Amino acid sequence: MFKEAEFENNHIGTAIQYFRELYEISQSKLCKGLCSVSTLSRIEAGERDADALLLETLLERLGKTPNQFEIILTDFDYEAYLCRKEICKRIEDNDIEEAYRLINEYDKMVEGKVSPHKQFVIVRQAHLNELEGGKSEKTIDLLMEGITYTVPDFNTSSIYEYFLSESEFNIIMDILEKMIASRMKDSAEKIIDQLIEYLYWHKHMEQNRRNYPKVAAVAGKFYIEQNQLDKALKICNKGLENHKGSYKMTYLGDLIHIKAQASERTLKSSGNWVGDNKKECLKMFLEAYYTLEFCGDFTEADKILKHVQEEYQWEDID
Amino acid sequence: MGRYRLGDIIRMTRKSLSITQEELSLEICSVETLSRIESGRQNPSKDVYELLMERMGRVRERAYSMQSVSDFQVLEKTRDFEECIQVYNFHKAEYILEDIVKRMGGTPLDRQYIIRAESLINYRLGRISPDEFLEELQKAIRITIPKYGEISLAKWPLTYNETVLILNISTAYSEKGDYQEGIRILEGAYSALRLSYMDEDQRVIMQVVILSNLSKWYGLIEKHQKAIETAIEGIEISKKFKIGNVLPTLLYNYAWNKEQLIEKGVLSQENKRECISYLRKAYYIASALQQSYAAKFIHKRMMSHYDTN
Repeated sequence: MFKEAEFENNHIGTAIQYFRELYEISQSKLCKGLCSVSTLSRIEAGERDADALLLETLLERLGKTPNQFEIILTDFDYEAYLCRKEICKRIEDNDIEEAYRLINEYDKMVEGKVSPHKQFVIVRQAHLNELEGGKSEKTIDLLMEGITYTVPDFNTSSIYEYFLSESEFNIIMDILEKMIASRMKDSAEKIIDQLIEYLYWHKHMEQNRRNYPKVAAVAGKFYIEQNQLDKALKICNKGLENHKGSYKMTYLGDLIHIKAQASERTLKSSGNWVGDNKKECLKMFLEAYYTLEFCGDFTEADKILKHVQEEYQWEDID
Repeated sequence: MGRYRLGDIIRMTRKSLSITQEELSLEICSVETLSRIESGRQNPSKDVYELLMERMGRVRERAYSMQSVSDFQVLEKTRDFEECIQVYNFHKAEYILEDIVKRMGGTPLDRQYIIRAESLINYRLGRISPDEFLEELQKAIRITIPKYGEISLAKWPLTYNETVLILNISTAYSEKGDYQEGIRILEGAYSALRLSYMDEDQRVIMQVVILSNLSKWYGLIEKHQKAIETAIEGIEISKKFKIGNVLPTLLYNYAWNKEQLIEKGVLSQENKRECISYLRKAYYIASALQQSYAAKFIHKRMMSHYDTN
């Protein structure tokens, strides 16, 4: 009975410490850029005054997504959570004016609070700027400002010492894709290098197995456009290796398509685009075609269809 | 600022899902108890808290702030156990399970898990008959659905774990050759899933797995038209959520059932073209997803029936 009465929601520090030690991560690496080591120590020791968004970010950096509400401890945490949710909904619904109003309100509410709140504000402003049709340079600048709130070394030095949360990782991917779209080749290549280095050092973290296919699809496409075929092939193979066992089809078609293109071009330039090699390429193109077509990416699928008809005299597609 | 307690978490979660206290407390505790818990006049026991949250799709694997170190260790072992089951490594799974049984607590969810896991191992290793297996599974599901078998499941707010159990039960019937009963159970579970509060990712996976089993079993009892419709529904869900876990099987089931209708003369020979096209799609998508077993199986069928690559 005594044990029953003790049952309450104050074990979050235990969870953070347990998983941190399980994955052999030092305190200073886990909280790098996010909070001080002494704050993390206090959280792990069971102090209950921590901000819920800070707790969530720490857990996410360990690859864990907590159930909603279970780490919320105060009225402030709850109101902030509801406000963030409402802002995201307004952005999704394209209600720009109301979204800006709520963001300003949120900004005031979180004054003096931990940095992930500020990051949230700036990143939503970036998305709104994009929605409004603002300049993409401004979107990128805002996203860059946003990420440095919790990853201050981003773009100045290496990020492999960090353990990035899913949202931090997504901001970086967002920056990368926007840079590629704006033809900022050099900056994009620098970020790709950083990401690949990061994934190499964190390959044992489960969430990075999930992230790899997306990074590989974006980076592979970039390399193919720069005609860096070896790099494209290498990253696609890594992406596919990490995709094994996954049932998600989102980046799969793109990944195989890039691999097929890179393989075909490499074989053609060395005069080996014959026999079984050629057959293997055709098979990859068809895998990509059926996957993309199924996922509704008809533009890319049509391109492949034309290509295999012209280059491989493939006739059997209905 | 007030500190939030367990009752607050239950209330906030329930409101965010727009569930009434009556629906949430069904067969877990009385409405009055839930109301006292939510208002902080009574602290929930671990048993009740787990059951309420589980029903709202808040699985305990993610309830980080509620667990102790030994809970984390057990939950990790259950993951290892499930992985072994997935690859049919039942001896290793049994070894892990012995450890789980020693460390796990005695909440209803704990007991349900252990009964299911032990009977699954015993059945797969040939130690118990299909009927004994079924009996154990029904004992497990009655821990959270006491009236299982007497009430229709179509309106039950199924949890993820209950759905897994129902899949096991229906599979046991199909392995006894009783496809009708397997179908009846899965049709009930499929309707219930629409009302379920489980996490969307998990729900969608469960839906397509159910549809894939249903389309196979409808085919085996020669309800080919129904099998085709079921497969189409599964294919559409796979398309919408871009998931491929059972997609090759669904595409294959579609083609196989059309072939049966052609052989019976219900459909004209013209339809063969479509069958080849579905098989080809199934083959290349299975290859893309690196599901090599499915890819080989489908390829063999294409070669033997249509002499095509």
